[in-house]
Parts: sequence; C-alpha cells; structure tokens
Amino acid sequence: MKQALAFAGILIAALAASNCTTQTDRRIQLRYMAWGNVEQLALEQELVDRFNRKNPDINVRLFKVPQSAYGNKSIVMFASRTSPDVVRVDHFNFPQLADRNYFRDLSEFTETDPEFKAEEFFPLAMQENYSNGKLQALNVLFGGGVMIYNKSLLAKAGLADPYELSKKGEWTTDRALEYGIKLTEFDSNGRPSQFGLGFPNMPFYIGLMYGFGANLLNEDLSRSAMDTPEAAQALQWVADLRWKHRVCPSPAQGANAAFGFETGRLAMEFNYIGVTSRYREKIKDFEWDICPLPDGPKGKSLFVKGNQLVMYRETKHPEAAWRLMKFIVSEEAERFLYIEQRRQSPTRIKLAQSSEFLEPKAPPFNMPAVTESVKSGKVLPIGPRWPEVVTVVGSELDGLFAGRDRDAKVVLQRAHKAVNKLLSEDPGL
Amino acid sequence: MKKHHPGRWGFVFILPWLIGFLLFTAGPMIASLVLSFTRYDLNTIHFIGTKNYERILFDEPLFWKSLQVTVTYAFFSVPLGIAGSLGLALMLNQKVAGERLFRTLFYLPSLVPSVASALLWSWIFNADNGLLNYTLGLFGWGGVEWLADEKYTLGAFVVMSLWGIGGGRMIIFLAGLQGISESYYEAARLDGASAWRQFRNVTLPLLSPVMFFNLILGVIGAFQVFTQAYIMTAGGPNNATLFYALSIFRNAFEYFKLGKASALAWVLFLILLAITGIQFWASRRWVHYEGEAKS
Repeated sequence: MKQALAFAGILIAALAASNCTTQTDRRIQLRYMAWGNVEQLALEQELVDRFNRKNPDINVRLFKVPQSAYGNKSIVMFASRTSPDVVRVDHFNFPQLADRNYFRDLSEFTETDPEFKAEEFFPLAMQENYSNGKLQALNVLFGGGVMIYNKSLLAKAGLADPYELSKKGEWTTDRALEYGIKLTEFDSNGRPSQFGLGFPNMPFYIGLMYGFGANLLNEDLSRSAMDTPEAAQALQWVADLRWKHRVCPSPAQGANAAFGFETGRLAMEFNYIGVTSRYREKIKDFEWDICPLPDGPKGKSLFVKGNQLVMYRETKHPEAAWRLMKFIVSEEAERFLYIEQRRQSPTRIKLAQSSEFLEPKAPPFNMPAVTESVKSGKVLPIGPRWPEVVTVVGSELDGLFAGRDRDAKVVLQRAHKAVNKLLSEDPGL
Repeated sequence: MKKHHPGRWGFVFILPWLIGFLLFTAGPMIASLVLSFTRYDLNTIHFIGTKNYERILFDEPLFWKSLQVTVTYAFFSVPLGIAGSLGLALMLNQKVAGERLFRTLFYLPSLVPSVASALLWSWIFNADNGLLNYTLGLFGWGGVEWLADEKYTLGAFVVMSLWGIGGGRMIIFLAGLQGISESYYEAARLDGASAWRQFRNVTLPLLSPVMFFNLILGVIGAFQVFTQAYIMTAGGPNNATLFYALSIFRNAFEYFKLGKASALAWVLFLILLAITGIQFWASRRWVHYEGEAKS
C-alpha cells in the first residue's frame, strides 16, 4: 500500500513538474519536417539548433520522417490540417501539392522583409519556387546533375580529362559514348568486369533530351513534346548505351553493388553532387572528380532540381516560420550546408561563385561544373500532374530501357499518345 | 425483482470491438462509398454521380490491366499455395523425432515482415548475381531478368508467394489433420485402402471445410497484394505487376484521385463478393461437413 502511495505521489509530482515546464516555456513552438539519410538529418538538426540558439523566443523541433514514407506522410498531414509549420518538399511533388493550395504565398514576406533580397539567389532557383504565378517556397538542396568520373581509370586508358574537354566545348554525347566504349571491359567468359558509363535514369535522360533539342512536355506542360525526331534521337542514344554498345549496366547489373562507382568498376556515372560526401568517405584508392553532363548535338544537357521549403498555409506562427525559412537559406546556413558539408549547390549567387565553394580542398575539385548547371541549366518539366505523367512515360520507356523494344521512335509515339490522352482528361477522374 | 438479460451483458462485452468496428471499419467503408460518387482531391469535393464508375469500367485501360494481373496471380498462387501448405502440413503431421522443431522451422519464414521478405526476394531474383539465376546457371540455364522482364515478373511474384506456405494456412491444415479421427483410417486400412486411397477418400473429404476456408481467405489475400509490388517493382515493368491494390493506392495517394480510388475499392469489394458467393455455391459439391448428410 505504501509503495502504491509513493508511486502515485511521484507520478503526481512528475505531472505537476511537466505542467510547470509547459507553463513557463513561453517560446513559440514550431515544427519543421524534413527527410534524408542519417548524415542529412544530422545536418538538419544542426541547423535547427543554430536557429534556436539565435532565436531564444522560438523553439523549433525537427520532425523526421523516413524517406520511404515522407511523400504520403506529408500529403496526409497537409490534408488533415496537422502539418508542421515548415516543410521540405521534393520538387517532383511541389507543383502537385502547391496546386492544392496547401502552402502560404511567401510574397507577403519577401516584399516587406528588407533582409530578403530575391536578386541574391540564382534566377533558376527562384523560378522553381513559383506555382500558379505565386511564390510558394524557397529553394534548398538545389543543384544540377553532373557526371562523376574515375580519373585514375581514364588516365590509365589514355583518355583526356572530360572537365578540360568541357571547358573547350568538346565534351559531347559522341565523346561520352567513345569514353564508354573504351572504358568497358569484359572478362574471359565475356561477362562485363567494368562499365564505362552508368545509366542515365530519370531525370538525367530528360537533361540529355535537352541536349538533343527535345523535351518531354511542351512549354506550358499541357501536352507531350515527345513526337519529334530529336526526342527519338536522344532516347535512342540513351537506350543504345545499354543494349547496342553495352557500355552501361543492365537494370539487374545496375542494382548490383559490385558495379557501384565506389568499387572502381564503373568509370563514369550520372549523378548529383550530393552523393560525393559518401564518395569522399569511401573512396581511398583512386582519384575522381566531376564534369558537366555532355553537350548534345543541339546544345547543353544541363538541368536543375532542388527541394522546396514551404510554409504550411494554416500555420499559427507565420512570422516565426518565415524567420526559420529565411535562416535556412541564409548565408550562414548555406555556407554550412553547401560549402562546409558540400550537400548541393548554394542558391546564393555570391556563395556559389566564391573561392571557398569553387576551390575546395577535397574532391570533387571541378566545382565550376556545378555552378555552370545552376546558372544555365533548364528546369525540369514538372507540373501538377507530374506523378501521373512520369508513370505513363515510365511504363512506356520500361520496354526501351529494358531492351525489349529497340526503336525509340515507336516507343515515343506510344508515350506521346498516352501522355496527351492523360493531359486532355479531367485531372480529377 | 429485476429481470435478468443475459444478452445485454454479451452486448456489453463485445462493445469495445463494436466501437472499433464502427469507427475503423464500417465508418470508413461508408465514407468511401460516399466518396466514390465524388471528385475529391483532398482539397475540394464535388458530387459527380457515377462518373468514377463509368471512367473505371469504360475508359480506364489500367483498371482492366490491374484486374488481369491480379486475377492471373490469384489463379496460380492460390492453388499452388494451398497445395504447398497442405503438402507441408501432411509432412509435419508425421510422427517423427523433432516434429515440433520442424513445425517451428517451417513456420519461421512467415514471421519475416513482408517488407523484409520483399527485399530478400529482390536479391534472390537479381538477374546478375541472384541465388535463383546462379542455381539455374549450374544447369546451364539462367540469365533471366526476373524483375525487369515483363514476361517473367508476375511468375516471379507467384514463386515468391510460396514463401508463405508454411504460415497460418499450414497451421490451419495441421489443426484440421489432427482433428480427423484415427478410426476412419483404421476402418479404411481394414478395407485394404492404400495410403493414396486413404488420402483421397478420408483425408481430403474431411479436410474439405478447412480447404474451403483457406481458399476463400487465399483468394481475398491474393486480391490484396500490395507491399511486394510497391517495393520490388513499383508496378512495372510496363505495368506487368500493377496489382489492383497498388492501383488503388496510386490513384489515392499519388494522383490525389480519392473519389476514383474509392470507386475502385468498391468495385474490388463487389468482385470479391461475387467470387466468394460463387465459391460458396460451388462448395456444396465438394465440401463435406462431418456428421452432415449430403443430398
């Protein structure tokens, strides 16, 4: 009995203490939702801690959701009006969510806050934040696709450095294919022991379409643009890497970690700069660096893509949420994320062009390749119906990229029809 | 004197379940029925009559594709799964040393979470260095892109479904086998019945109610396949593994077409109701209940 009374006493005291804490904590409570691997989430937490230290009147809590569940979780939270105040959204989902009016128009802050100057950011980074003519986000983890290459393998094969070629405008799709062929090796049983190129999955093949003068959708994203000879030429080039020239891993070989770039058995790959933090840690026995995506016959293949930092429309603390958002794209935060930690490219022009970003002490050294992308890349054709479009296109291209269909023109005609049918239908049905 | 109402207490005892059922099953079902007649994108809602159903049935090739995929999968995986579970139950019903250990070992795979088993099978089916192609390679076969070639992907899913033959279904068969009185077998043996005849004329008829139960649950389960397709192939290649449940999920949570997704769910409900009704009707010909005279 005594024990029960003592336990009840402790319980009451604990409850009272917790109540006191709540009553005395007069700080504005904010929630910030993000996803990422362990390293990325540690950086997000560091940013939140720095913000909390600088803003004693606000307490931000990082709300972590595993990447696999992030999309659904955020949708359900927006729809059920339980969303955190500030949320990081992948650009692939941003226009679709923005179309549902879940985000606050940020122009009320950007136009009145003298500390925020839109002209300090890359125009492309700002462009991605607009939906339906309204500024609904700030850009984070922004960047473009690059090629990462094994310098040691290229030197051993006697091939010129692709970054140097790109500076002279000689790093082209023809040259990349030539490199792929020269760098692919087979063992005595005829099985590939080393691949020259990684496969350019979505959205890298869209970048290559740009280089060939093509696009997936038209300018206002209302119809397919895949019925052009240029589009067929671009995707034929991509498919042929795998099935005609056999310089890329097949889907199964690509899923095999034995052909990961870190192993030294893949000479060049299409990827984002964000992956290089892992490479810096893992790769010890060969030299590597980055270069831009190869130019196509009609121009550059560069594209950009970021994540959007949005403010939930019904947040109770819009001013505090804006302060947090402004901090995450501040010089201090961008210097930490993109120069010290090198997660992506700064969205701030000054930082992206600074010597501390462009002349790092560790690989990759060719950082102007990243700046070139964010300066002159194209935004991806992502609109409110992107998830449906990419499913339809993906199911048609599956056959081409898996080697069952060999003629890109035929495949693209089917994809063109299917996408146009989709986009002409009532979006709600 | 107060009147005693035993039924009232029964009602009180099932009340927690009843509340749960109304809140989490019946309520959402009614809500989804209402939503199926609307155009609902988690933001705005409009009543549109039967347009969702018209769209699904007459202008949605992916509905028929997903139905074809699911029916094909059920057609192969359910009989194979039932046969496998029954075979395993028959073996584990033998009186041998360590029988409990064997039962535990065969049950263990079914305890692996579906996400983990999906990842495991992804490795097994890897065309380049997977266990399956390696084993086939020893006999001069192999090289099949199990999860990337639409000719083989659904077959791979059927093979994967056999992973569950040692699970709950086997336990139910085992319980059914142990419920068959030894006297029937003794009588059959006295009449000179072989082991096969005993199985055919004693075991199977007396196990038929259990088999019927497993058949109904198996078909319903096959129509609800989702996790494996979501994780391993995302419905591809070229919609070869676009299972019906995955199609509902995509419409609801990727395309925000919750009205259409609700209509798809109700169509599935009606399909399963019809299939189950047919199974009940057909069961009169092959399911035998002990002690019940067959007409």
